[in-house]
Amino acid sequence: MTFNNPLAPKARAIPQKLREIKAWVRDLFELDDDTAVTVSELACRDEGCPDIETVIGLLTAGHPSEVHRLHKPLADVERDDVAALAMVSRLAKAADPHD
Amino acid sequence: MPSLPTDPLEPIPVLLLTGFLGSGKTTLLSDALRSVLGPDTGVVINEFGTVAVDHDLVQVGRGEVMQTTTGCLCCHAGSDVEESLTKIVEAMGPDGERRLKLMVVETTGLADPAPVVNQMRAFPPPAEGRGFQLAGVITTVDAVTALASLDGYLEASKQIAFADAVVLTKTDLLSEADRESFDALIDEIRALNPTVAVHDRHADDFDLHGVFSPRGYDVAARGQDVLGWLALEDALAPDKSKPGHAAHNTGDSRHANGVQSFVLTSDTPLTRDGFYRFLRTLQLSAGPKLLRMKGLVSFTEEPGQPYSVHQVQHLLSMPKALGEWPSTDRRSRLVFIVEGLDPKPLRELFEATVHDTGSFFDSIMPERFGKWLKSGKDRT
Repeated sequence: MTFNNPLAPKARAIPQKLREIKAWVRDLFELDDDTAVTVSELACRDEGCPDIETVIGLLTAGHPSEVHRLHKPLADVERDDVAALAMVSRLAKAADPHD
Repeated sequence: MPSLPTDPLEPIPVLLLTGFLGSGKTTLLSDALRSVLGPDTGVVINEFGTVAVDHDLVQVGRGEVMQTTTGCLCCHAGSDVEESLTKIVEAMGPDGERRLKLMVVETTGLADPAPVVNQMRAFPPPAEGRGFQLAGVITTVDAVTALASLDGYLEASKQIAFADAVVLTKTDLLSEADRESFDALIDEIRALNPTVAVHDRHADDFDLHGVFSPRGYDVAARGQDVLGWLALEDALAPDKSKPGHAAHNTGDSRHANGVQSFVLTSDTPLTRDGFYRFLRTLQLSAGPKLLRMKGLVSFTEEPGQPYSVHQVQHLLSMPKALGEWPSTDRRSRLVFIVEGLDPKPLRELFEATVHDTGSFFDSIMPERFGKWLKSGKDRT
């Protein structure tokens, strides 16, 4: 026998958000099919860091992994956040083409 | 007993048993230990927080060796899998390494399997002895609460994605009205892990023996997400991309700061009415902040009779009478895993209610619930 609590957990829709973020990354970073996108969420206790952050990895065989961090939980990530990351990444690569 | 390798030169197969909080990992493991696993099985039970109770909830017999660890295995500062397994080998005695046929590692319900699987894949070739080899990942999925867990916690998705065997639990609690959400859960499992074998714990043909049989665990077969998460773990470990911030400090936990564990204890038996008043108040007030509660209690009305108690998110299961106390520790003790909930008022509520002798509960509860409270032992 079980009893339902009317104050049941609110949905954060993590699976859908995960798929959305991956699609945004692929689109805004203009990635080809050779690069895999992976998204995770980690807690960090460093001073100045948020409690939890979203970590995005761009993984291409034969190349170093590219890791980007967004200082907010995965559920709060918006397309604009990913667009900003992509712009910073492009600027960094333009400044250092050997990177 | 599964057919297991007996060649002493073969690495000892290790099954990883994972699944979100309250999804039935410990119950499944208990069943397996009672019915299909032999005495030459080693068990590591990892619990979130600093107080372990699962070892008292697992009914072990026939001489299996069990090691309980606290501190989440997936956390950087947490326990080391290989160290725990080695302790089991040592505890088995001089010929333990030769006799051991299987190890089972049960993670916490909040464990991210990526770092744990990475640890297990990286077991070094043994300098001497057999060493260990990951031989399967079993994930329990609560058919009633899993969709909510998946919606709220990335760990729940990862646990399913890494599995080569998913065991659906509590399907006996589903009603016809739950059919749509159950179908949605199956769709989500398939989306996360298209090739995983899905077993229904309550199906007539459920093969517990097969689920706990070691097999080759093929990471590549689990799909791109799993490969990506494992690669990301590797990339993050020595993150030197940020000067002065070489690796993020996950401290004692890689989980959000708000998730914590604490224990409430009573040296004397609780009054039945007082305890149910506590549970009822808890259920109505804690809401989604209470992720998991489990423990052992006894009542003044039956001081020698222990009960196990479980609550998973919004689902409170009725206390179950146990045959006997599992250890010499006769204290009533409840372990809580909460997110963003201050333990202090909960502790005060516990202390204020559980020894009450008043009839508060009977005066406010529906008749049916009141009957359940009075006859919990009979209805297990």
